[in-house]
Amino acid sequence: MLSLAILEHFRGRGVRPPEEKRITAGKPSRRLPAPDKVYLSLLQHAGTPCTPTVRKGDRVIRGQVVGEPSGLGAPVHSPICGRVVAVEPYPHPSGQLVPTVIIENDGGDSFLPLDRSYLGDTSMPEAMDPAGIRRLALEAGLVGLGGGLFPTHIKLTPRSDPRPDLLILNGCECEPYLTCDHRLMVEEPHLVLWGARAMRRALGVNNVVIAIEDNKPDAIELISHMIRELPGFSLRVLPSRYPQGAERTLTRTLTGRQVPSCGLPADVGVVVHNVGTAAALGRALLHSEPLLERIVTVAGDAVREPGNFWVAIGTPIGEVLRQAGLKEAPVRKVIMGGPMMGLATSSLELPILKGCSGLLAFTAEQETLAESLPCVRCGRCLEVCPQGLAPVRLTQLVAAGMVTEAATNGLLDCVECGACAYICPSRRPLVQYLRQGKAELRRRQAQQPAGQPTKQPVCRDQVSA
Amino acid sequence: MLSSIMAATLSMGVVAILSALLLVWASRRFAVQEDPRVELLANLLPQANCGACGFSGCSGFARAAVEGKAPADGCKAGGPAVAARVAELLGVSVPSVKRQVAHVFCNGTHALAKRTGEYRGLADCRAAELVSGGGKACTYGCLGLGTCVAACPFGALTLGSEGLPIVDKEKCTGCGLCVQVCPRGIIKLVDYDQRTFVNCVSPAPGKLVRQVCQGGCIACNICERTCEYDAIHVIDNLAVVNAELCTACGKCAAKCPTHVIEWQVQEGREPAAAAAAS
Amino acid sequence: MSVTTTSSQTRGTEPPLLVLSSSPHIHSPLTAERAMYTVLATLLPVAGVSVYIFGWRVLPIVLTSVVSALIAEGVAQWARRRSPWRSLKDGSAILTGLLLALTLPASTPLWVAALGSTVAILLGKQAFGGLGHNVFNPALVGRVFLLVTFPQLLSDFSGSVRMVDTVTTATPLAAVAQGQTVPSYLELLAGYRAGALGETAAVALLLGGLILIAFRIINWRIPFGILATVAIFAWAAGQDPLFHLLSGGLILGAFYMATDWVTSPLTRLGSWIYAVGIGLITMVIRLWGSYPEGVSFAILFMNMCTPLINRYTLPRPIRASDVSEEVSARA
Repeated sequence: MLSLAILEHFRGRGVRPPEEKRITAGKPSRRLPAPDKVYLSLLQHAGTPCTPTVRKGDRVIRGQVVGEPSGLGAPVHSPICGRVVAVEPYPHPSGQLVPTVIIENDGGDSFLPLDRSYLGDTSMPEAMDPAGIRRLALEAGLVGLGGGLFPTHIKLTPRSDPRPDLLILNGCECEPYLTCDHRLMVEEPHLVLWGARAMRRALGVNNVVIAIEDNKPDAIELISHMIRELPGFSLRVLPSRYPQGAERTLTRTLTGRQVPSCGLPADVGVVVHNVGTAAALGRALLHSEPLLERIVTVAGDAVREPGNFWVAIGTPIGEVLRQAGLKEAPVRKVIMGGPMMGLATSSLELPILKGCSGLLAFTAEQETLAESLPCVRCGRCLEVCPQGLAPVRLTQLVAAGMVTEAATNGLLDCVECGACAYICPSRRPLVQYLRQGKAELRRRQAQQPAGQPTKQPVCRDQVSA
Repeated sequence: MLSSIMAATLSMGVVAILSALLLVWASRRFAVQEDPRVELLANLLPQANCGACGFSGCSGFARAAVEGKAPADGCKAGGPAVAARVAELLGVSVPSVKRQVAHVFCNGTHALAKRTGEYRGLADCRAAELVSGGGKACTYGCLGLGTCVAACPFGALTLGSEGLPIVDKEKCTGCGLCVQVCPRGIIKLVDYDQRTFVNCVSPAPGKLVRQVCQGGCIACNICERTCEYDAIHVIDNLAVVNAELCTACGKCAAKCPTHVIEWQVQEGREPAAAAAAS
Repeated sequence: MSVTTTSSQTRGTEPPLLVLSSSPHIHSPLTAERAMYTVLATLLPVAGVSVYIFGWRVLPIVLTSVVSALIAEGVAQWARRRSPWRSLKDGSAILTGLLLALTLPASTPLWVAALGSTVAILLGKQAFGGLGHNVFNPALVGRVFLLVTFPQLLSDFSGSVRMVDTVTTATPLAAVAQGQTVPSYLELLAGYRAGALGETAAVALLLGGLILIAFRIINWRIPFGILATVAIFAWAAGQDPLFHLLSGGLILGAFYMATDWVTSPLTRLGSWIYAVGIGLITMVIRLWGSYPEGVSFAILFMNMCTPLINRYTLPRPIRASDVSEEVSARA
């Protein structure tokens, strides 16, 4: 996996890990057959778990809602027709058990389309009712498909101060291995652009910038050709660099505006949406189809046929890997998402969630785990941190239990992109330290008696990758 | 020669006297008036500086206690004995408290608990917890990386070969630091003389518990039916011992199919039930 | 807190469990170990030139120094109840031993080399807590210890010099101080001059240094800053800048000693401050100090200042107040 290239070029901050995209980027995506059973986790978004709307024994059809949001969230739909065999706690990537609706496929083909009547004039996104677009985004169960999982309808609601003046469509896909957004832009650009136009309408902004890294020449050519007749749309080709596609980094790169500490791009008048989310919105608008499936990059050296697959939400990852073909060599590590920010999972029973952009399976040889050495104070983590933090200092503070001091040094500004831990010559688990520090900080804040004001700012977690 | 020695002695002497005067003046001028009881009280404390009282070290607690900002029994590590002496010094009364010790409420040893993955990373349960649950199938069970052991200022905890921490009841002061650091809330403070424990905290139904651990409480109700003193009840899928009623007869522990009930044999008491079980 | 755990409870015939670890799951191929061995590799030509110039007796000195460093490291790790093998493997002790040897004259008795590298490891590194925790460059601690303990031995450059005809037995800087003739630039570059084992081979050192910069192992700001400061200072003081650059241990110090990750500042600005500081102190000692050469002392002094430099140059988090102006300016 790792070429022996010691030469690392840095343009500004960030890192340039080997891309490993070539194998999957050129292959057309395939649609996997519907699985026998789907496991629809009721927590597939940032927020609180949904309330199930079906019970054991109910028959559901494709497109039917099985979970309604309670509080912050988005509904979950069944991607197949079948019978509910259980509504019970089931493993979730977080390591916890989360209420899950389990449906057994009966091969039926009826489909319950979304109601689009409240959109008004549906001939052009520019003519639709903005509130209707937001309502459709909610009812289609849309969340940030780049991995942020923040409910889309909320991010489509314009703030009054500052009013958004720019929509950024994030097609950077800076994570190594992943090519799902790339394939989406090449195969279904009309859905991406249709969704983007609706997003623009919902937000009331004129300008849309589509950001694509220079390692996707075919997508760049196609999109630049297609936006020629669309006023307000522009394309920005960015050099490949990780984490180019992180919301804050991208906002700064494209607009020069600095997202404030503990803030969101919306604080500087920018809204960033992933191209996958735009395509899903486009699909909901044009085909009345809620979020039932997503495109997943399946790669890694343990996979015989790497590629991009359209997978029904709720398919167990073991099923997806089996379809892509696993090699004889024992799999040692399975990652949901990309190698820089993805989550290692221990169970192949876990279902594909809405935000799962990649599924990587590695054999023993590809594990890049080495024993870590003490910090040698080389300062590389400082050079690569896209947030301008000092990971070396923060980890020292966290290790000493001084999380409040770490917070004043910017712990909560960390987006966990992993650039520091990637570059660390001592292979120190820097991100893990920082994550632990954040958890510790949350725990201490929760322990503080009510009414007593917390001293440090409470930051919202990063909402889109 | 002699004069140079004299000169050196004299000049050094003058400097010494001047410095001494300066120090005397400084100690008077900048003296800090502190309640003498603070020092007396601090001397009563264990001086472990564990911080369990919520103040910065033992001297911090002493100052707070004298100023009335901390309760006389605030020193968790010192237990009832220290609380009584502190109360005596401050001239207040303190309700007599029972000595408390930490207890590990998990039975998920290497042999009994199912593992889902091989965790690699920081040797800290709080960090491991964030990596897909740290590799233990039971999401309530002990991760066994010894964060509590490292937190104990009294050396009362050790990590056993079975993967669970072991409390030395005699060394434990009940300060509760291990309780605070455990990300899964497995360690709780119990009365020193409690003898019967249900070593499981999983609120999951028995079926799910059985899937992940051979040694968890499966809420089978056998203990409840066995108990002659109405001292154990299954509440929310978990057997709970009522320490007030429990006579530590050990019958529930003997009958428990998963051996999740721990019964500590009291000295001088015939382990009849244990013998019957084996 | 120990840093890593590798729990290996593989049971019976079951397939091995999947590995759970925190992201990121890929890492840069440039590890600290690899960096150490790359530095060592670039020092081999330097040692080769040294053998060519000073003869075969260079080898026993280098070997003694490296082996003593390894023994000291192993014993110290064992005494501190840490894995000796892991720390011997990382290459840092070998590097310390080699660097120390390269700062010694060819006439150094072997026991002095052994003593020097033992002191370097024990006092310069392990006393602070081992790799990553030392304040001073260990090799320089060893060298300065020898320099103040055995001043005669360490300034006796009359040993077996190969080019007896062209090379005076005083180092160029000492020659200037004593009013003797000094070698030409070409002789300085090629290393045909008296001096410590590793400091004379200017071309080999420059080549190695440039390779390390190209591989991003050392921070280019540090050697560049030091050399530039020395050159400007020398020019301003009415001396020959090129002579000052090429003589003494400046190139060895600037590329191999001052750039030590552990003891140099973390930030870019910090690196500049550090480099200029080393350049200034070196020249002050050379021009006005009682020692003819000051690179070692300059680097050690700035090592001492590194925590302070870090303190004032580490980044501050972006605060809302910093951006409010920008936002309002846009509105």
